[in-house]
This record gives sequence, C-alpha cells and structure tokens, in this order.
Amino acid sequence: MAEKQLIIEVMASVTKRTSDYFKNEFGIITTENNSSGGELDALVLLDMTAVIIMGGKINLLVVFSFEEPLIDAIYHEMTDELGIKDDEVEKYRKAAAGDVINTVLGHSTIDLLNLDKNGISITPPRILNDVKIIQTMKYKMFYAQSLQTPLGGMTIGLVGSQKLFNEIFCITG
Amino acid sequence: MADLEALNVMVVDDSPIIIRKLTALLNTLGYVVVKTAENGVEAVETYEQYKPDVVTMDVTMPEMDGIEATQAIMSKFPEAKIVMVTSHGQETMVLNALKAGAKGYILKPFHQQKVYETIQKVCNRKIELQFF
Repeated sequence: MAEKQLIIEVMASVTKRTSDYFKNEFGIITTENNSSGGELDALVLLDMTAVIIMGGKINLLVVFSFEEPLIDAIYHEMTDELGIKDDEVEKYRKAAAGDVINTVLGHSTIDLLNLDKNGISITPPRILNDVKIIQTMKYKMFYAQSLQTPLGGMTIGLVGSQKLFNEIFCITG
Repeated sequence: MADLEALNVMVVDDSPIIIRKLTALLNTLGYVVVKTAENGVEAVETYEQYKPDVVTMDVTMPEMDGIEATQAIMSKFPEAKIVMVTSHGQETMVLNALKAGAKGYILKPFHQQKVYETIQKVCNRKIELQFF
C-alpha cells in the first residue's frame, strides 16, 4: 500500500473512532476542524497530552492533546461513581487521557488490520506532562487534525518519518 | 450463586480507572478482589504471594506486558487461571495470550454478563441465569 494511503487511512480511522467513542460513551458530539501537516516547525500541545506508538508497518507516534475543559469533562464522566479523593484527582485525570487514547487506538487497530496482517501492536499510553511542544526532528513530520466539541477542543497528531509524509503533502527534494 | 465460596480475584491493569471500575464490577458479581497490580512485574510477584483463584490481566502494560506476565506465572503455576482483558479484539493478541496460557479473554468496555460468564467458565463453575 502507498504510504500516502496509510497516513490517510490511519487518521481517518482514529478520527472516526474518537468521534464514535465520545458520542457513545459520553454523549459528546465532535466536529472536525482544520487539518494541517507537512514540514511544521512544531506540534503545539494543549493542556493534557497522551501518546501511544502504533507499531508494526504503521510505526507512528499518535498524539491526543486535550483542552482542559474537555479532559475535565471526560474525567468526571469516567470517575463520577468511583469516589476519587482530592489528592488523587491529577492521577485520575491523566489516567482518563490515557484510557481515551488506548481505547480509541484499540478500536482503530480493528479497522487497520489490512495494513499489517501480523497485527498492530500499541504501546501503553504515556502522558506528556511538562511537554508543550513537540519540535520537528530530523526525518520526523507531523499530520494533525483538530476536533471541536461543545466542551472544548482536542488535536489528534500523527508523527512519523519524513518519507511517509513527503508523499501526502507532495514535498519534493 | 450456587457455589458458596466467593472466588478470590487479582486485577492487573496499568489504568487506575480500569482497576477501580473492574473491581467494583467484580464485587457486584460476588467475587472478592484480594489484590490489584499495575504492571506485569508486580502481577508476577503478587500472584506468588496471594495465589488468587483467578487473575484478570491487561494486555498492554509498561515494564512487562500481560502476555509475558501470563507466561511467567504459568511457568511457575501451571494451574493458574488467567483471563486476558483487552480493548483490541484482535485475533493475534488473543491467540498470543491463549498460547501463553490464558484461559479466556474479556473485551473493554466491560459487559457484566460476559465478565461473569467468562470467570465462571474459566473456574469450572456453574453459570446461573443472571439479570444484569
């Protein structure tokens, strides 16, 4: 499969699975805003960010970055009946961000099985606590899709090799 | 439940939210969660100490994943009953887990009936009609 198609397919699946998950689990409706990519200087992160690497032939870092009101709303939906103590709130807010990306990418691997018949591995989620910008690295490029909800926005980012992204954004040289 | 003694369960997951939710669900179903662990290394150590009747094991975890932890537990305790927990629904993952010695699997998000039936079946217990 062409690499251009791979990027498009991964982002389409992740975006749709995110929208479906928000709607089905939390009753949150999403709308797609602008997408951007290519030789960006940096991917600017929002208030809470979780990342996972999708392995195998896909080999992309997937970034979910949430505005504070949105991740707060999700946190409350996930933990309302759990009796979280005040000193545990931050731990569970981070866990909520991790659970969202983990669940969504788990669902996406089902859509993307045709891209890697050996199965697509995903790493455990990591929370980028103090990182606010992912700088462009050599041979790494970004593709980002913004989603808006009535409770706040989020960005889905894909970070991969320049080779993968050259095709999709028609970058030459 | 027909079986008088409640089963002791160990819950292994790197998400504290999943641990709390699954623990609450298992308690509702009449099981006793004796211990929880947040990664595979902790799971192996804790299993040796508590020898629970059944373990629910997340697949994707830091330090040691659920498949490796299952292999490690099964190599020492071949009678262990381990149920994998995954959101993947992937044949490859499930197959690897079963090869490692897992006796069954449940998918996230959890459905009470499925969790109940899987644990009862793995522990050779009667599955009674439930109204969840």
